Amino acid sequence: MKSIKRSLSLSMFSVLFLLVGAFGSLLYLYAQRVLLSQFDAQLMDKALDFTATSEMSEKGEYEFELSKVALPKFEPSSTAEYYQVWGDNGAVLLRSPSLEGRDLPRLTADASKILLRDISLPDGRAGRAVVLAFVPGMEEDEHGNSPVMSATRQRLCLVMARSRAELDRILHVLLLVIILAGIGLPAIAGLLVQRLILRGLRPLDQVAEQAASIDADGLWRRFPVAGMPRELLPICVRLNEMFERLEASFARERRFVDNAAHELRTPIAELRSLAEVALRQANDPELRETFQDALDIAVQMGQLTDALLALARGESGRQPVERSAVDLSRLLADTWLRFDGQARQEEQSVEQEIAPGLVIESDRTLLCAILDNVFSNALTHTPRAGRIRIEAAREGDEIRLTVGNSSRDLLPEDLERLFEPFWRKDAARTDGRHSGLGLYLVQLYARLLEIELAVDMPEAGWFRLTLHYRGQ
Amino acid sequence: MRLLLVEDSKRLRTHLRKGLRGEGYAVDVAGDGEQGLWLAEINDYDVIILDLMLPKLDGLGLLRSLRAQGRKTHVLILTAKDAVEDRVAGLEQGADDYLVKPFAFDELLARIQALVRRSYGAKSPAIAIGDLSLDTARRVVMRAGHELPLKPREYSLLHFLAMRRGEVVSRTEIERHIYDELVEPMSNVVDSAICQLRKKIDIKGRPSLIQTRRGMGYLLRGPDE
Repeated sequence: MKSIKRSLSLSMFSVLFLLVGAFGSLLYLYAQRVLLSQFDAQLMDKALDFTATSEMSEKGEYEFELSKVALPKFEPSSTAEYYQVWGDNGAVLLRSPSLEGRDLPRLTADASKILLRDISLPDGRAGRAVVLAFVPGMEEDEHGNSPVMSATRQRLCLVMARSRAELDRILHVLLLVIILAGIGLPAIAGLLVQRLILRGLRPLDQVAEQAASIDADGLWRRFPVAGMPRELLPICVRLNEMFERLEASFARERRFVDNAAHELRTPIAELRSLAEVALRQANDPELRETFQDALDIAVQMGQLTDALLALARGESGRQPVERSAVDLSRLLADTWLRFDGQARQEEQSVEQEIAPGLVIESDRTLLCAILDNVFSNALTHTPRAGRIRIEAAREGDEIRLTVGNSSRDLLPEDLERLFEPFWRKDAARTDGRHSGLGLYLVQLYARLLEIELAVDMPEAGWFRLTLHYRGQ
Repeated sequence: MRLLLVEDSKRLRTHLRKGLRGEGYAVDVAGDGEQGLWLAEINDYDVIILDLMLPKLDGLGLLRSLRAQGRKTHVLILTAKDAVEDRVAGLEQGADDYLVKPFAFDELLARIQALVRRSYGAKSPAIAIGDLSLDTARRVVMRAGHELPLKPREYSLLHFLAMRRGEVVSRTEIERHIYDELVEPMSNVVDSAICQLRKKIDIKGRPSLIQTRRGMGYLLRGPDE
């Protein structure tokens, strides 16, 4: 089910996560660039110092002033830096002591460019190198003349390198901090956002709670509009209007059912009273038979009216449901007692297998009405000398009640029509004993009591009705 | 026993009155709430049978007025409304019982009987006065093991006296409880009815169970009381 809170929280969290992620990535890239640029600048400065202090002597020999000074950083150590100089012809002219006779990768650069490259140092570590092509300066005599012709001076190549372990370590720490912040910040912000959303949606919760507590008996209730947020105000106003209309509609329906009850029941009561009083005073057998018929008609009409009014109440949601603990085993036995005599008259064999102590939380009155109708239905449709079987048992947390009976006429294709009001297998049958509403009412009441109802014909000529109660 | 039937259906009024009178009850009828209230105020009924949906003044309004006046007459509501809330509303207003239309006449009689018993503080339907016994449920009277063939009004008179056993009951009280508005009691109608009743319940050679208290009324009591 969709949840505004969940989807809002999820959206806010996703947006926060993306924003923090993007910001973190940009921050990392920027820091990486700045640090690398500083790292490269330092390396370049050293390389330029090296080339600036290099010159060719009068004898045509190269002199590298920096190499003459035993700088600790070019001595072998774990933090050593490296340099190597190649001549034009590829011959190695100079190596830093830190190289210990090994070579740096030979890289070439144009005269006008300084190359910066990531390389692998001789000891296998990752390093950063600057590549510089340069022509050493000439040593001048006392008159300021260069004894060697510039044409004889060759272009040298300097590669100066250092480990980038420290730089990488700083970058790794920075990356870790950004990742942790990228996860932690959205999580903290998400919790805060969720709390804020919960607080912001509290009026909506209150409206939802109030709406959930309103049933057919509480239609007089209204949603408070004072202090309601602007976004919810139109909803509350509309809901209040809807409840006013519903209340009026329920009141109309209630009046209709009351009036219908009065208009239908009073003439039936008149007819019944007339017949009963007349039966008490009439001695003529023919007259008595006539009054008895009138009484039977009145009783039948009364039952039909009761069923119709119960149906109207059930369908309009006016049927109250009052749950309490009901001993189903005892109720089954007590209810059946009312039908037992009739079953004996019809020579029907009745089998009962009712587990003792089946207690359920239900409405006793509605449950009685269900059992009355189910038993009455079974008796009516079981042929003379037929069989009726009542079973009730607990299955885990559930209780299953099955009433089966032999049936002569019913076919599997009739089952789906059984719960239609006034449906009869034989449309012409007017035995007057049943209104044709019994199973429809059973279905209605079962729905009110949240009891599953099913019918089937497991074998030809055997009808079975099952009530399945799931514990609450 | 005198009943008031307040019912707006003329046919139901007519047949119920006929049936109840046939059982020995004195029955006054009213077709609307105002008339019903007026009759209830001026007469002393044992039970009022009251419809709820009445013209002029509805049944609950009538009931409220009666109870507000402190009248404790037992009221049986007879109505087409069968919803639980309707029953609760009726009983909360002071009704003693509730019967939904259409009803079996026998059930109406049984409920009236129960209310009459409550009116006189009797819990059992059986009343024994010496060797005279009344089964108010079956409306059967026995004396010394023999069933007595009493007419409905004779039974009603005996029943009324039996409910007040040991008390002197005045002629006026008997008139009020045994005769309804259809009967205009003459001055000696109660004396004649008592005389007829004595003939049926008394045994020759033994003192009458109904004693006359001159200028006061009649007293029903057993020989040893």
